[in-house]
Amino acid sequence: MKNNSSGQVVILLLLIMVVALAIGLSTIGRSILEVSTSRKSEDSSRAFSAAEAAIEKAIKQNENNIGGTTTTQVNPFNLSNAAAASASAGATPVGSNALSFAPYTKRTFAQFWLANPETMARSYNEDYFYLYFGDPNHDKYDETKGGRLANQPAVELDIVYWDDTDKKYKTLKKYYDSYRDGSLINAPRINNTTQSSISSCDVRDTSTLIDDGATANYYCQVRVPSTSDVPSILPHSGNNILIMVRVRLLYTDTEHPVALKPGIGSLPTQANIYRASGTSGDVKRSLEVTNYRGVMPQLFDYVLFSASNLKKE
Amino acid sequence: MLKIKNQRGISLIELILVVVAVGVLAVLIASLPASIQSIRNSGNTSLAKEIANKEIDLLRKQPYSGLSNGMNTFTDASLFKLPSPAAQYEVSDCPIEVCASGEVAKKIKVTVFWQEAGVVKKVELSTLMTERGLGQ
Repeated sequence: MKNNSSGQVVILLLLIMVVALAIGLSTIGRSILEVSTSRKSEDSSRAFSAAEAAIEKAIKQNENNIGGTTTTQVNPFNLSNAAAASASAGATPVGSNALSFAPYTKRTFAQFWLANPETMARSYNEDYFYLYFGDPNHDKYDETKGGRLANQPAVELDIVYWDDTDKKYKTLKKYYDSYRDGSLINAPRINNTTQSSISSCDVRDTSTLIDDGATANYYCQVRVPSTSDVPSILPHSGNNILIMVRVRLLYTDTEHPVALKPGIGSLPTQANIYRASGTSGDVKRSLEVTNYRGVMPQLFDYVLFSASNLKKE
Repeated sequence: MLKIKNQRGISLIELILVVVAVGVLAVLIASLPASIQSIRNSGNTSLAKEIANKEIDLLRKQPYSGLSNGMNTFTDASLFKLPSPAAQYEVSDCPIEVCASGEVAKKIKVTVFWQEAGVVKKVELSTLMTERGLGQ
């Protein structure tokens, strides 16, 4: 009996020791994890600030090269707190590449210049262009959702041009929907009537070269205007000048990218891309900033009704 | 003979095991306060880093003309979660070795201080800001 109880004490002691060991080890483990996480996150912040500094430097160095096609390089530099950075700046789009607009929501809009953004002189003077829109990586065609795309957008296009006959700026609106196919069943409908004025995608799940050479994927590609549209070419005849295209997303609550690709030739240079990377410790952060020039407020896409003259307060 | 065997006491192995176990436990218990301190320290560092980041974002949104050289203090809603905190940012002209081609830029150094067990700790973030740059 005595032997039995001394055995129990050993077991009890062992249990207590195991529990104490577990608590101690987990606390030490957690503290090691916390320390390494906080060091990494501090390094990451430093690297990010350094990359931002490099972007600022690139913007400054590139100031005299706005609209130019050369690439500005920012030499690597060190900021005081052991962070280093370098950057480059270039103009976009290059050659016949599309100009891309980073994913945005329906609250805002994408703008593409067809005229020279500084002088409004004629630049893109072709019959048509291609529009790419929709993020192909989500909200794919899904039979369980009634065969419809839950969240792929439709787009509204405003083509702004100078009508030289009437001596006025005018807009031409076009709508494109990303229904699954162009057949009668899935063609865009209003009150169950097929709408021929609303076009569907020409090509789905497609990719194109954008900006200064990257490849990007889009859900939908359309030719604007389509060959069956009336008029079937952009309003650029005579002395008319194509000014810009503005693209709004409709019927989606997520972000989608949009790109505009010239049908023939190239688009005027209208944005600068800045790429920078910053390092601190073993952490490297890369940043890409696209600076679009001369963006017009969305308000002017729509007619304003006012009893008296409008004044800017 | 059997009686002697019973009274032999503890073997060397058992003794070593006990010594090792007690030693490990002692080391663990001794290092617990340091571990807890370093957990607190890393929490504070993360918070200070967030405050410094936020201040840099705020400064970027200010007009560039408002950045005049010198030391300024600032405060933040989360700053007082740190023990005896202080926060400052220093604006200076971009040092020549960084802005070698004569770019007009300001160097911003945001520092957040706090105290831990009588020792002053800090987090420091540096960046550059220019006119019509990011956030403008």
